[in-house]
Formats: sequence, structure tokens, C-alpha cells
Amino acid sequence: MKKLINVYILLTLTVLVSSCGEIGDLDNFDGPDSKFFGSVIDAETGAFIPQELIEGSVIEYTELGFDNPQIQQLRFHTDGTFRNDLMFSGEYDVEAVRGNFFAPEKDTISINGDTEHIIRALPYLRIKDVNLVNDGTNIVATFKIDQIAAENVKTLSMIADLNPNVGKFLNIASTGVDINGAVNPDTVFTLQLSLNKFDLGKEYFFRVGALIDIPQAKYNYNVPIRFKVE
Amino acid sequence: MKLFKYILLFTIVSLMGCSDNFLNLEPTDKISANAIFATPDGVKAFMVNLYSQIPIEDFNSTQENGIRFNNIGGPNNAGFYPWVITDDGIGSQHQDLTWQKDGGDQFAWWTEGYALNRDVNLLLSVIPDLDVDQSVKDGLFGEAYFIRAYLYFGLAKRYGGVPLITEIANIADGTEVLNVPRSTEKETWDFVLKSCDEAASLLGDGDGTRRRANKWVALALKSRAALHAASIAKYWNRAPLSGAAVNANLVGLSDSDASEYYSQCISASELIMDSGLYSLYKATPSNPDEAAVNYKEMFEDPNRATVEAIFIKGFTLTGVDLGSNQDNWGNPAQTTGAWPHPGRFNPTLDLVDQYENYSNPGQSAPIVTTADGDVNNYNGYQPGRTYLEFENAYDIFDGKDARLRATVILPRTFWKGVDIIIQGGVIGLDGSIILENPGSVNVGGTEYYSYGASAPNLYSGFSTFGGNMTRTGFGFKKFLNESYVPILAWNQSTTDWIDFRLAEVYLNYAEAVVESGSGNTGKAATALNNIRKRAAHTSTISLTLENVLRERRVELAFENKRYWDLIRRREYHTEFDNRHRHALVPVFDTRVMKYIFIRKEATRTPTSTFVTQWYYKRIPGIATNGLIQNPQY
Repeated sequence: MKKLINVYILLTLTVLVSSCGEIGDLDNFDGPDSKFFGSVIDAETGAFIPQELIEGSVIEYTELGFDNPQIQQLRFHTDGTFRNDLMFSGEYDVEAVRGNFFAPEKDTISINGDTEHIIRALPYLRIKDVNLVNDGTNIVATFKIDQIAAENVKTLSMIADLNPNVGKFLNIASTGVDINGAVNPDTVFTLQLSLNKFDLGKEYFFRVGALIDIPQAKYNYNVPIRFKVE
Repeated sequence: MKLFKYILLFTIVSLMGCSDNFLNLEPTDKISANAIFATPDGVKAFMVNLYSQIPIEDFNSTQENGIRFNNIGGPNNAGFYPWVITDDGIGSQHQDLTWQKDGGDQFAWWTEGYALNRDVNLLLSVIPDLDVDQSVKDGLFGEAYFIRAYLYFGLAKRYGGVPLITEIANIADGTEVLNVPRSTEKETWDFVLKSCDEAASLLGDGDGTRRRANKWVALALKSRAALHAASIAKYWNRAPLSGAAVNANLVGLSDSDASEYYSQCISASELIMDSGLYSLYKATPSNPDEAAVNYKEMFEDPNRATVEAIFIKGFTLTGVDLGSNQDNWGNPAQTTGAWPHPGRFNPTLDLVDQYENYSNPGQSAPIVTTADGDVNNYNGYQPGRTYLEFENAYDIFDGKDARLRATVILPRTFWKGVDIIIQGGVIGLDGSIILENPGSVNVGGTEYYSYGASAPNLYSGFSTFGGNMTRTGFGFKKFLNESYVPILAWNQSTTDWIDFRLAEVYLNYAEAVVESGSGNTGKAATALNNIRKRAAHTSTISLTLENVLRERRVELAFENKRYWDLIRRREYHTEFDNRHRHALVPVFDTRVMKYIFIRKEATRTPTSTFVTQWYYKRIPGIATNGLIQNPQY
């Protein structure tokens, strides 16, 4: 009897599913067929402009040809590159926004197959000559800043984490100082983090950064430096 | 074989399920709209339903679960209430601003808002045909406009400009008609304020119970909403956003709109203040102890304070969607009764510091713990510093504003007749410290425990036991019912909620006057100082923005204002930029047999950051409703 019930249940489900048709079918659209990748490069020096993984600069892209298309967002990697391997081929409006560089105007590009997109831009600030020293009680960072944007420099910051993507929202130790003024390219700035914030003997990634006083701007950083704290 | 018949029947019915008209039956278990609106009592019943949907942010409203959450998703929100994502409080378990939901999805109230809006529009459409006197109709119109104002205020403060829908839409009208585009943020705020005016012009003084909308409730709502709009207009540039919604003015207000909104706040507040119908509850206490009792009893039972309360949401029965749970989550571990999860709301040292000391009026009085007086050192215990020593733990709070001890439970003070032991460490005779860890030292045959007692049911602080202990050094007191002992059940608290009270109107007024530079400064200063006098201050302070904002934070603490104050004044992202919230840890030093206190970052907490996109919440269903999304979602 029990077997029979199971047969009936199976039969019922089969009839139910088949009666309304096509529930089990996949849609008839093709999957993503393109890759979109690239980087943001300092137009003067040719170096990548270092970015922040969490809440950093954003590339907004919109696929053309639809009513009320949703704006999609792409984040940069810490080194200034970006990549989305699951894109649909088509025409897109692409624009870098809310970043740490003078973003070019919105661009319409055709994404088809492997599509590389290089953004050449001037960073708001360049962090140079970063040097880390362990003075026995602190890790001391010295650095200089090339100011490219005309606005004031708001704050300087020094951060550290075990993760190489160390950033404003990903750090175990941070310190900062308010500047609220212009900076001279020859001025050497010094920030330090106390050794008692670290587990001695481990390698940490350190960054120093500076934030320009532009709405929604992000920090300009150096490339994270791997440094053993002893 | 009976089962076989059922299966066969079910199969046949299911196969019929694809025909297109079998759902169009008149339900027999529900009352039709025609029947409801046929009698005035039916309309009243309908009105009760509308009131229950108003987005009042009471004990049953949280950032993760929405308004009336214990009806919708069950009561268990792990004690994660709006005050624990501000600088006023911190959760004993969940330490960040976001727990289950991203900041852009917190406080979501969209579908519920438009469901209520449809009900309001339905009511407005039937009132003219009701068989009642014109005065009754006017009253119903007034209440409907009030609810409309309140619901659009709820939408505007979350989403900015929203679709303003004032007619009942019909599904047969098609998507062209149904998909109403967003209005600008300015149009939305103007609509809220206009609806408040319409309500106020139709409503009278009310019946004195403070449970239904009247003219003054509508004006109090206007006072709050206009201040919100004015603040956004004035401070938009502290955190400007960009994108399609900004370009179309769907979010954002211009600087030039601020003065008009401030003046609307001033005029609405002034009408209430000049009405002579409201006054502060027990406005002139003879000493701080009396002031503390008065202040506490107002929230324990708002019906004692109908002179001050303008609008009360009543809770009479226990149970789902009837009672609430703050007594469960809020009691210190020692007075939890049969409830296993107390101690969830921990007021921060940041808030405690704000309260004035009677000896130094007009200044916040941070708790000084060391001889050097440095209150910005949060680096934990440093043996090299000289810590101040106190015979009784509560002596360190000597002279602090009476509202402090009426709002939070201080270490070694009595609550429900129990000495509440909040202690985070002990120092042995050799100077070694056990800090925020279990342990004890033996001195002369007596054990001195780091948490102040031997077992978790005998103390209320700093241990990790069950997440039941405060980790800031303070317990929650405001709104708790001192005579209620929690049982092992949900929704047993029936404390009423004051949604609007005169003190808020005073503070709205004072802020609008000082921010706009218009209005009557003398009157605003008097209002500000009257609130302080009710807290047993004898001094008078001047009308400055700093004084007004400190007074607002202290007087309205935990009334679910702080979150929206940080939002509207665009202070959240600067207040919460990699921020730690702080604790005050009492430590017993056996060398002198006295207490010392350590100011430090609250333990087991990461830093918290508020992201500027969260100033507006994510609009759901963009793909189908065709609306322009808020920035960065």
C-alpha cells in the first residue's frame, strides 16, 4: 500500500509539473560571453593608481538598449586593476566615479569577447618615497605627497593589516592626522603605529594615504608594503 | 483506498488549476469594503487598523526587522534595537552597525508604506458618502490626512523623494498609470508638511487620552518633519551624493530651502507651546533625587504624564503584536527573572559623558578617572598613571545630571532592590590586574572576584557569560518597568510608548531658532532651560547649538531619535568613521580596598563606519516599478 501511495504521489507530481509546462526548462537566453577588464593608470607616470577594495573607487556601467537599465558597479582591486569575467557582449556606458583620481568623461564602449579598458587619469594626490622603520616602540612611516588637485588635503592616514588588501575599512591598526591645507612636495610627513597593536614576529601590510577635500573622494595610497614587525 | 481518492481528487483539482477564473470568488471569510464602511463603527474599526500601521518607532520597531516586527517576523531580534547602532548604545552580542542587513537595507519600510497609503486613499474616497454628521466627517478626514503625513514622513526620511499617490490605483489601469514616478525630495517634504496642515485645520483638541490624532499631534509631527527637512537642506553638503537620482533632485535639498523649513518648524512648535494645553511633567523638582524619580516614572507609565505627552501608543495586552520585549532584553543579568537573555542594551560611556554636572553648567562632564584628568586616553589600564580611588563605585558620578541615573543603571546602584554589581577587574596586593577575564585574588582569606562576585547570577557586567553582561559598564533603565519580573515568554511588556512629547517640541524649536537665526531666541532659551530645570538644574545656560544638541541627546536618549538626528544633520559618517564606542570599567583595587575606573574601548568590538550612501535607503523592486534608484545601489 505504501509503495502504491508513493507511486501515486510521484504520478501526481509528474502531472502537476507537466500540466503547467516549461517549469523545468531553462530560459532561452545565452549566458555571459565576454570579459571586461583593465586598470586605472597615472597619465603622467604610467604607474597603476593604487585603490581601496572596500568602499573604494567604482566603475559604473550601464548596458544600452534597455528601458530603465540598472546601473551596475565594478570595484577596483587594490593594485588599480579591475575585471569582470561574466559580462554580456553589447554596448555599455562606462564611467569611473567617486574615486581618487580625475575621472575621464563617461565613455560608450563595445564589450565583445576579451575587452580591455585602460583609464588614463591623474590621481588627486601621489604618495611618494614611503619608508618604514621600526624604532623599538613604533613602526614609523615617512613619506612625501605630490599634490595634483587644487583642493586642500584633508587628512593623512597610516594603516596596517595582515591582509594585503589593507584599507580604510580593513585594518587592525590605524592612525591619522588632519591637515586641511595644501602640501609642499618636499615636506616629509611622519606617522607612527605603536608596536603593542601588533603580534610580534608576524608580517603585516602597511599603507599610508592622504585624502583630498573633494566630495565623495577616496584616499590616495601607496602600494601596500610588506613589513615584518619584530 | 480513501487516500487514493484524495490523491485522485487533488490531481483533478490541480489539473483544473490552470483555468483562469477560479480565483475570482467572493471570499466568505472576510468583510467586503462596502460592509465595513456602511456604519460609523465599521469606519472606526478600519481606523484602528490604520493607526496600527503608522510607522511609529516604538519598542517593536528595529532596523533589521522593520515596524511592528514581532507581528511580521517573530519577536526574536536578539535585542538588536536602533539605539545599539548609534553612539548612545552598543549591543552585548552584536557590535557593529550592521548585523544581518547592510545599512542601506536597514529600516526598510516601502511596501508597508504604500499598503498603508492605499488604505488611507480608500478611506478618503468613502468618507464623503458616509451617513454621519459633517463634523464627524471632518474628524475622519483630519485623521486620514495625519496618517498620510506620517506615512510620507516615514518614506521621505528613508528614501528621499517618493511617488506621491493620492488616488486609489486599479490594477486594470495598466502599468502606465500604476507606475507613478518619484517626486523630488522637496516636493515630498512639502507634501508631508501640507498634509500636516490639512490635518491640523480639521482636527480639534482631542479627548485627553493622547491616543488619537488631534490638532496638536499633527503640529508636533510637522515640527519634527520640518526640522528633518531643514537639516537636510542645510547640511546636504556635508555628504553630497551623485548619480541619476541626485541629478533629478529625487534626493537632496538645496541650502536655500533650509530657512523656509526651519520657519515652518518654528511656527508649528510655537502653536503647541502657546496653546496652554501642555506643560512639562513635574517641571519644578526640589532636588536631583526627586527629578530622577519624576523622569523615570514618566517613561515607566506615560499615562501619568499626559500633561507632557502629546501622542501615546498604548500597549495593553500581552502577546504577539500586542506586547513588547524591552524588559526581557534590557534588564541587567541580576534581575532577569526567568528570562535567559538579559543585558542586551549597553549604554555607552560616550553618552554618559554628555550629561552635565550641576557644578559646571553648559558643559558636558566626561567621567574623570585619573589624576591627570585625561579623558581622551582609551588605551586601557596603564599602571604608570595615577587612578582616582572611590570608596563607593557610584561616587564617581557625583553631581551628574539626575537624568543619567534615571536613564541608565550605574555600577553598584540599586535596581528592583538589588545591588547591581558591574565590575570588570580586580587588582591584587602585588599590583597585578585581572581585567575583563574571570578570576579572583585572595586577600586575608577573602576572595575578591574580577567580576565582583562568584557566579554569573550574582553580577551584571563584563563577563562573556551568555552575552548577558554589559560590556560598557552601564545597564539600561529608561522604559523598564521596575515592578515587572520577566517570565520565560515573549511580548510580556505592556509599557506605553510616548511618540511625541512637549520636551521634543521645545528642542525642535530651540534647534530651529539657533540654526536659522530667526524666531524668538528668548523663548527658545527659556524652553531649553525649562527642560534642564525639570532635571533639577538651577543654573541657566545660553542658547547655543552645542547646548541645544547636548540637551537633545540627553533628554531624548533611547527614544529612537538619535539615529535620525545623525542622519538628518549628516553627522553619521563623521561620527562613525572607523569609530570605537567606549566603556567605563570599574576595577576593585585590593591594595586600598577601593574602586578605580578605566576608560577604554568597549571590549570585543571592531571599529564601525557609516557609509554615506546609507543616508538614503535602497528602493526595492526597481526592475518592475521603473523608479530611479537611490545613489550607489
